[in-house]
Amino acid sequence: MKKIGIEKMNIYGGSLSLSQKDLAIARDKDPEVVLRDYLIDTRSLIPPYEDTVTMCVNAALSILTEEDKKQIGMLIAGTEGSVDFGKPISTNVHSALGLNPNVRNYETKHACYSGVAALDTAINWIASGLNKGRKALVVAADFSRKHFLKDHEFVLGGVAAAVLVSENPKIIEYELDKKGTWTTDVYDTFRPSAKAEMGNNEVSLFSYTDAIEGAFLHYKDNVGDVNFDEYFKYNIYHTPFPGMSFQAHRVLCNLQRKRKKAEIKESFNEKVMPTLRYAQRIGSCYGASNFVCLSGLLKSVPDITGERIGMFSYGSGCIGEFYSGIILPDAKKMIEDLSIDSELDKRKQLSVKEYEALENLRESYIENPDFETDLSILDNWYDKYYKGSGKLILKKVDNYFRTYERV
Amino acid sequence: MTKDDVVAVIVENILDNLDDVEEGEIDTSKSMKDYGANSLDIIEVVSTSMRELKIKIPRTELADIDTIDSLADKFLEYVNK
Repeated sequence: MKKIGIEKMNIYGGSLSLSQKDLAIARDKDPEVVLRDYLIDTRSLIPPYEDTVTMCVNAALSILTEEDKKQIGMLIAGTEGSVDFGKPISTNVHSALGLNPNVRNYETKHACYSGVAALDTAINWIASGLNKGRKALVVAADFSRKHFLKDHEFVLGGVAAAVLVSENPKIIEYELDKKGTWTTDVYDTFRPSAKAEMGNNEVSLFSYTDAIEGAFLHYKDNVGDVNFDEYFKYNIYHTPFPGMSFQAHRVLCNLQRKRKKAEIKESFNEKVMPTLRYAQRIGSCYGASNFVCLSGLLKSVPDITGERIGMFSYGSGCIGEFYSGIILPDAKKMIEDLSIDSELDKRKQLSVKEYEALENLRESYIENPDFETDLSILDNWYDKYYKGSGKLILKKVDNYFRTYERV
Repeated sequence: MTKDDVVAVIVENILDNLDDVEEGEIDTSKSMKDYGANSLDIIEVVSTSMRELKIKIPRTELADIDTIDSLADKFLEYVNK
């Protein structure tokens, strides 16, 4: 069987952030409890002149060479935040990145599973041999909608990932025959319109829990009766908020052998905490979640070449998928060559008032057929961060036609 | 199976999943939240208890339950079905 996996990868956590502690104080909650339960220190925000298109492109720009662009034959964009019901954002991304014209491209949707759905499709295309040596670019991006004063205001965020998948992987090789899937029809969180985002926290936590159990048991059906504690060196879990990964880990630990919370915490600190390095600064990672945690893991730990990583992706609606991969020799160097930490450091931290004004402004743009994005907001943040950087922004919308520009 | 048996399973899982709770101090007329449980702890107690009792209850039926006693009553309904 061919070796297939990630050749290159990057994440883009936006250009703005909000301190979770500031938000807790503004909402009259105990900051200590909020920080401990959700495991989020800051959440990413993006200005209204960015959207899922610009986020995907701004994640991909720095890793693609001209040679890569010629070799890409498939581009799949995972998102639950498309800017159009018909035209997929993959077309906007394709043109902004200047890829060759012979590229199959489309979107995948299944809430936060979208990125792994895209990855899986890319892997299967390459495994089939129909790629004829060409590579697939997977992008995934999402950000939260407006949820002022709701309980789930503490589990918001936004991020994009760009992943080059090929038969010459350098970061991780996926174990193609090791996978478990579980699905059921549930309304846990969903986006029935361009503005509304519905959800039930409790149903959502339960369906995630059911899905990880179901998917892991199916993984074992396919792979054999592996010992959860010994088989995986590290575990990556979908992070609707990083604190959820503790619950995910607890489910799988207890399935293997029932144990006390303190013992699970110890295992969590060793095998999961290193994966949360970036998620704790980004907040909810949506469809890019597994890639964000893989990046965080590789940056946080010494060389782990040859080690097996267990991964779990979850999409509301819902689906759970458990799969695994082996870390490759160049992974550490590849991640060190990126500047994810310093890029996150560059974000402008907003006050709660600025954040509220930002989200209100963004909402006024949604489904608006004509507007020009205001680049002067936040003390001309555009001039300081974007201008001259080569990043992509949304310039204007004219009779629903969207104009993007590299600046 | 009696209600006491069901309560015993729930209490055992509370002890496993909450920090700093002693067996004697659990009053079943109270909520797990009174013993410092967050929503993730409660989910784990409910899930592991259901697994042990070999029952599956639709989550919607569990949404409004607020005491350990009423959780045991709901479990008992399904155990004896």
